Amino acid sequence: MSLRPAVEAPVRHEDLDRVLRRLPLWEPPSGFARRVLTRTNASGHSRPARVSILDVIFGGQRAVVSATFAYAGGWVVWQLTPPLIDRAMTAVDACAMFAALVAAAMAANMSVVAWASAASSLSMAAWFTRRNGLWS
Amino acid sequence: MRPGEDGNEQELVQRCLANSQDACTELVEAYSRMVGTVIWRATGDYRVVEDLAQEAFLRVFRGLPRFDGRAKLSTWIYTIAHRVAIDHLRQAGCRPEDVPEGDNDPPVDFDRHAASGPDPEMVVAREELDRLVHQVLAQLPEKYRLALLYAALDDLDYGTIGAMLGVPPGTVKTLVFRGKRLLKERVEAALVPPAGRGGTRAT
Repeated sequence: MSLRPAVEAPVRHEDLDRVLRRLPLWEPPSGFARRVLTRTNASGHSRPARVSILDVIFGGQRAVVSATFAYAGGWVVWQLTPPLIDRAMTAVDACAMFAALVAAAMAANMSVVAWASAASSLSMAAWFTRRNGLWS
Repeated sequence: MRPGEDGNEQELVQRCLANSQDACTELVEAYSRMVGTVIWRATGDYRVVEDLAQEAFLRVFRGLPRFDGRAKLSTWIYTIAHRVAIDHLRQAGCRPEDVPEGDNDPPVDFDRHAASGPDPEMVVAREELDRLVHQVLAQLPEKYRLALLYAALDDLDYGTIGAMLGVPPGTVKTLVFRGKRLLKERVEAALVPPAGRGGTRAT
C-alpha cells in the first residue's frame, strides 16, 4: 500500500467515524421508479395477487398432510393400545410389541402405506422446492 | 416521510397487493435511496447499483404477498437488497477490491466537506486519510466491512443490520467494534511510523 505522508499514526477513532459517516448515499436517477415498475410488469409480477392459486394448493396440501398424519397417528394408537395394555408386562416389552404390531399393520395394508409414502414424499419435495425459492 | 414512520406501512403493502401502481411507485420512491445505498456499500461498485436495485425491487414485489408483517417493511426490503448484493458478489466471484479503482466512482463529490476546511494541509491530510480508509475498508473481511458500512448509515439500527446479516444485534455491535479496531490497525500500519518507534516507511 502506498505511503500517505500527510497523515500520521495514531489515527483517532473520531477520524475513522468521520470518514465512515461521510460515505455518500446513492441517489436514484430520475425515472428510476418508472423503470422498476416497467421491469416488474415485464416479468409478470406487476399484480402481486394477495392469494395465488399456488398458495391455495400448498395451503390445502399442508392441511391435508397434517390432518392425515394426525388421523393416522390416532388410529394407530387406538388400534394398538388395548393389546399392548393386555399383554405387555414392562415398557421394553411394550416398545418391542408396538414395533412388531406396527410392522404387521403396515404389511397388512401395503397399498395404503405405499400411497401414503408417495404422497408424503411428493409433499415434502414440493415443500422443499418452494421453500428454497425454486418455485415461487 | 418513509411509510413505516407514520404507521401506514401495512396500508401501503395492502395497496400494492391491490394492484395500485401509485402505491408501488410510492414504495419504490420511499425505499430506493437506502436500497441503492445498501447495494453500493456491499458491492463497492457504483456501476451495478441501479440494475441490482431494480432486481431487489423485483424480488420485493414478488415476495410481497408473503410479507407477514412480523418484521418492519424497511427491514425486510433492506434484507432483500443486501442479499441481492451478496448474490451479485458471489456470482461475479469478486470482492469489492476487485473492482478497478476509478472506474466505479460515483457522480457525487466525496470530499465536499473536506474541501471546505480552512487549512490546506488539513484538507490534504483528510483527503489522504479518506482515500486510505476507503482502500483498507475494501480489504477488510466481509463481516466486518459490511457491519461497519451499514452501521455508518443513520437509517440502519443494530436490529435492522442484524436481520440483514442474519446475526443477533449484539453480534452486530461486536462486529462493528472489532471492525473499527481492525480498520484502525490496518490504516495505522499503512501510515508513516511515528517517530521513536523506528522502522521504515510502508510501501
